[in-house]
Amino acid sequence: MVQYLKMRKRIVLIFVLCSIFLVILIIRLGFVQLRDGPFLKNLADEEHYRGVPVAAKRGNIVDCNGNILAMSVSVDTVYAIPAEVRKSGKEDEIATLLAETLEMDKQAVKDRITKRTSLEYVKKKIPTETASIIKSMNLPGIGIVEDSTRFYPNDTMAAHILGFTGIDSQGLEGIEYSRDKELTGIPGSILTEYGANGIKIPGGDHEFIQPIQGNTVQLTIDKNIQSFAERELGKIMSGQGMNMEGRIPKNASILVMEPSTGRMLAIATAPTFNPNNYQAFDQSARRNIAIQNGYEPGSTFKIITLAAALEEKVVKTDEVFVDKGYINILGRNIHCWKDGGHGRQTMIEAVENSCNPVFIEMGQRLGMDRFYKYLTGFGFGKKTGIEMAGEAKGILANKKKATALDLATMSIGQTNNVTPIQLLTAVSAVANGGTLLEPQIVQEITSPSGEVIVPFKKEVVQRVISESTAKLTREILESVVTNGTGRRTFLPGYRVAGKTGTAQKVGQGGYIQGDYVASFIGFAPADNPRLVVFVVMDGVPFYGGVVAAPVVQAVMLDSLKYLGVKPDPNAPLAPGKPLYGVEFPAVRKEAIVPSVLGYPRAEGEGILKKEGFKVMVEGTGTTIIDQIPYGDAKVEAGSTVQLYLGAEVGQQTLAPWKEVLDPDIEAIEQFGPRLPISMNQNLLE
Amino acid sequence: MLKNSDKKYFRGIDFILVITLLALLAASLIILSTASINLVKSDPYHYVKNQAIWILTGTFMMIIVAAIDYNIWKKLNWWIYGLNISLLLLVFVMGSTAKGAQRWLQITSSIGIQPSEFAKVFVILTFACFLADRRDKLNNVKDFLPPLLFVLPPTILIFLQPDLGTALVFGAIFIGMMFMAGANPIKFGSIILGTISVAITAIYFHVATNLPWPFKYLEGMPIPMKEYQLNRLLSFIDSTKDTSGDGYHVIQSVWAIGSGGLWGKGFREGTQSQLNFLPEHHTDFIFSVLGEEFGFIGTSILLFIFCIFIIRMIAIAAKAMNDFGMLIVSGVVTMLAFQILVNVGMSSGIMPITGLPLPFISAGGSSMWTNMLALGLVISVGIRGEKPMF
Repeated sequence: MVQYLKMRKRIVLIFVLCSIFLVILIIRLGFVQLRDGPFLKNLADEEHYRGVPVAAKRGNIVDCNGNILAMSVSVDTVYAIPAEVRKSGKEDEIATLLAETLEMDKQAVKDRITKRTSLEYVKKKIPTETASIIKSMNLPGIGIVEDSTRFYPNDTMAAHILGFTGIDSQGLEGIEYSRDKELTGIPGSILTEYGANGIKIPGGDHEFIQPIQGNTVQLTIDKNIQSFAERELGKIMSGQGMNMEGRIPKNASILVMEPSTGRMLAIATAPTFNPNNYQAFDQSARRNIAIQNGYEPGSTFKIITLAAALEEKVVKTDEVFVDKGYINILGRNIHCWKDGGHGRQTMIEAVENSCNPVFIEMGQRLGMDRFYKYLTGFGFGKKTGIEMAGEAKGILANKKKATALDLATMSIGQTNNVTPIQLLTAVSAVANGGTLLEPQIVQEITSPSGEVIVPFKKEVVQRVISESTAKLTREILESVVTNGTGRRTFLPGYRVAGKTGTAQKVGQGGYIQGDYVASFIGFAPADNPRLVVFVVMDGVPFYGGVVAAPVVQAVMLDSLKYLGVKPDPNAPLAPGKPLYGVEFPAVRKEAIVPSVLGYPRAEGEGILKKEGFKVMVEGTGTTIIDQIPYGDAKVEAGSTVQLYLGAEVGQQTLAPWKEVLDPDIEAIEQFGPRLPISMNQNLLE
Repeated sequence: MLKNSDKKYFRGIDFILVITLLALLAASLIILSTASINLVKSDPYHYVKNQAIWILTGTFMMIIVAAIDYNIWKKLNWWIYGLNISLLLLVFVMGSTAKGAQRWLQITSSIGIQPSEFAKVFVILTFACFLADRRDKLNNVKDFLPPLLFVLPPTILIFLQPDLGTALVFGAIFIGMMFMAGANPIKFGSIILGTISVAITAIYFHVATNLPWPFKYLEGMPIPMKEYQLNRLLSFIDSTKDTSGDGYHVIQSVWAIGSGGLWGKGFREGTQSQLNFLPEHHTDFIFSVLGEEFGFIGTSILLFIFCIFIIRMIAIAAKAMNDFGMLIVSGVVTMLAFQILVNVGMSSGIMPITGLPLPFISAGGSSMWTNMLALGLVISVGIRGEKPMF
C-alpha cells in the first residue's frame, strides 16, 4: 500500500509537471500572438511585400504672384528585381538590350540587374519615350516606375534663392534645401508580394499606395522685380554696365526689399548658375555672395551713423561744420576727399557731399558706447535670420580694444565687415520708420489642396530709432539723391532717397587702391518707401555713385511702375536744391526740354539757358553726349538739365572716374599699411 | 464472433484517448494540407497523401501492438535491445546523409526509415523491462549506474549521428522512467541537476571570452558538440544575433505565430509559410503554420487536445496491471510530453532549436509509426489494466 501511495504521488507529480509546461506554453503563445501579434504581423508583411517606391511629386516653388519658379516634371525610372532576372536566365540578353537603350555600359548594367539585393535601380529619371521602349521589350524582372525630376523653367532666374535638388529629388541648396521637408511629400509605393526566394508571387497581392504630393512654397520674391534686377546684373556682367568702360566686376548683387514687411522682392547675384544642370557650373557660382560674403561697406554705412547721431541728437540739421580738409584723430590726420575741404557747410550739405570729417565728428560725438549700441541695434555682427543657408554674420571690431581711430573709420563704413543683406535690412529699418525686421523670403506654404499650412509672418526684431528720426534721415537721404552724390538715381516724378558707397577692399597689409566695392542703396518713395534697392559690385575701379546708382535707378523705376506706384505731383522733376523739411511748391509751369545731344558744350548750354533751364555739366570733352532729362521731356519750367560731355556722340561711357572728382571718394587712402581691425586676428575676441 | 475476453478488452479501451488521437491525426492532415501545399509543385497534396498512408499503416501497427499482450515483450527484451543497437549501428555503415547528419536507412530510393525514431519506442520498452525488476532497488547512487549504462549505448549512437534532439528525448525518457521506477528523488534529482549544471558550465566556458584569471584558461573549453548544434541551442537566447542562419528560423517562426494574432490569417492565408519564409514548415515548424493561419484559438485548441491526450495516458499508467506496464506508459508520456514542450517552445521562441517533430502532427513516416507503436503499447497496457485507481 505504501508502494501504491508512493506511486500515486509520483503520477500526480508528473501530471502537475505536464500541466505547468502546458500553462507556460499557453502564456508564451498569449504573449506572442495576442500582445505582440499586430507588431509581428507588420514585420512579417514588410518581409514579403516588396515596395517599388513611387516618388511623390515635389511641390512647386512659386513667386509671390504664383508664377512657377521650380516645378516637377514626370520622368521614369528603370528598376530591376535581380532574383527574377537571374531566374529568367537571360541576364546577358537583358543587359545588352538595356545598355543599348539606356546608353550605358553593358557590364555595369549586368552587375546591377544581377546584384544580390531585392530591388535595384538601373537608371533613374529617363525620358518617358525611352521608358515606353523598355516597357514594350517586356523584359523579365525589369520594371518602370514613375518618377519626377526638377525643372526650373526660368533657368538661371533666382537660382541662388531656389537652389537645386539631387538625383533623388532631395533639396541640396537654397529653398529646395531649407524647405525640403515641406516640398518632398510622402512617397507612395507599389507593393507586390514576394516569396522568400525573391520571386514575385504569381497572382499575389498588389497594392498601390498613393504618394502624397509635396506642398507649394510661395516666395516673397516677385518674378518681375527679380527679372529687372537680373537684367541689370546681366548688363553689368556682360560689360554693358553704365559708366563702366566695358569692365566687368568680379561679382555683383542686387537686392530689393519691401521695408514695411521685410519681404525680399528680389535677390539677384552674379555670377550665377543654372539649377537645371548645376553640375556644369563652378562651385563658386553657386555662392550667394549677397548673403554669404561680408565686406566693408564704405559710405552706404554712413546712413547708420547719421541715423544714430540724429536719434541721439548729437547733431542738428542746421548745424554748420567747417571742413578744413582733414580731421585729426589720435594725432593722425584723416583727409577729406576734396583737397582743401568743403569749407563751410550745413550738416545736410555734408551728408550730400559724403564729407568724411563730418561723419567722423558725428561718430566721435556719439562715443564708443552709443555707436556700438546702434551698430548692434541695426543688426550688424549677427545673422539677419534670412532663410538662406550659410549666412555670414559679419565681423565687428572688438569694442574693448577699439580706439578713437577705429571709431572714426567705423563711422565712415570701413573697418567693420558686414553682409549686403545686413546693410539692406538696417537701411530698411530707417525706411520703414525705425523698426528692424527679419528679412523674409517665404511668403507662405500651401498644401496640394490649397490650404495654407504656414502663413506669412512679419518678424519684428526691435525698434532701433524713433519714427521722427527715421523721417528726418529719409529726407536728408532724399536730398543726397536730389542734390548730392546720389543724383544718378534721381527719378523725375518720384521721391528717391539713397546713399552711395565706394568701399576700399582689404588686401595684403592694407587697403588696395583702385579696386573698390561700388555700391548704392536707395529707397522710394522717400516719404513712404515701398522698395529698398541695394546694388553692390565687387572688384571695379569705379565709384558707387557713378556705376551703382544708375543700376538702382533702372531697377527702381521699372519696379515702381510695375507696382503701380503713381508719380508724386510734389516730387521734383529735376535735381535741385535740398528738399528736406520744406513743402514742395506745386508744379508751376510745364516746359519741354530741347535736345542738345551732339552739340558742342557752349552751344548746348546756350540753347538750354535761353529756354530758361539751369545747366549742370559733368564729364570732360567738347561734345554733349547725353542729357537728363532727355529731349522732349515735359518738366517744370526752370529745372536743371544735366549735361554729360564726351569726345564724340555715341561714346558708351560717361564721366570716367579718373578725371572727375566724385564726392564719394573715400579719404582713407593715407591710412597706408595699417591693417583694419576686421583683418587683424589679434584683436578679435 | 468476439471472444468474451476480447469483448472485455474492447470495453477497456480508453475512448477519450482514441478520440483525441483521431482529432490529432485529423489536425495533422488539415495543417499539412496548407503547410505542404507549396512544396511539391507537381503534386500539392504529396505530403498529405503520404501522411495519410503513414497514418493508416501506423494505425494498423498500433492495433496489432495493442492487441498483443505487452508482457510478451518481456521475454524478447534483450533481442529487442540488440535489434535497436544493430539498426543504429547500421546507420553509420549504410545510412544516408541528410542536412549534415546520418539519420536515414534507405529502403527504396524515395522511402527511408529513421532508426533513431524507432529507437525511442525500443528503448522505452526495454528500459521498462529493465527497471521493472529493480523497483525499490534504486535508493543509492550506485544503483543508478546499471540503468544509465543500459540507456547510454543507444543514446550515444544517436548523439553521434548527430541527432542532439532525439538524444535529449532519451535523456528525458531516462529521467522520467527512473523517477517513476522509484529512484530516490533527492539523490537522483541532485545528480540530474548536477549533470545539467556541468553541461551548462561547459558550454559557457566554451563560448565565453575575456574571463578573469584563473577562468581564462578554461575559455574555449572543448565540448562534444558540433558548432551548429551549439549555435542552434544558443540562438534562442538571442535570435537577433544571427538573422540569416539559425536565428533566422526562430525569428521567422515567432513572426509567423505572432502575426496570426487571435483568430489567425485563415486557412492557406499564412504568408510566412505559404511564401516559404518559414523553414521546415511541414515538419519541425508545423506548429508555426497552425499559429499563423489559425491564431491563438488554433494553438490553444491543439494544446488542449494534447493535454487531454497526455492526461488519459497518465491515467492508464496509474491503472497499469504491473510496474512494467506503468513504466512503458510513463516512458511514452515522457517522450510525447517532452517533444510537445520542446517543439512548441522552439516554435514560439522559448526553447532552443533541436529539430524535434511535433508528435502526430509533423509530416514523417518514422515519427508517425513510432508514435503509433508507442500508443499501441499504451492501449495494450490500458486494456489489461486491473488496478483500481482514482
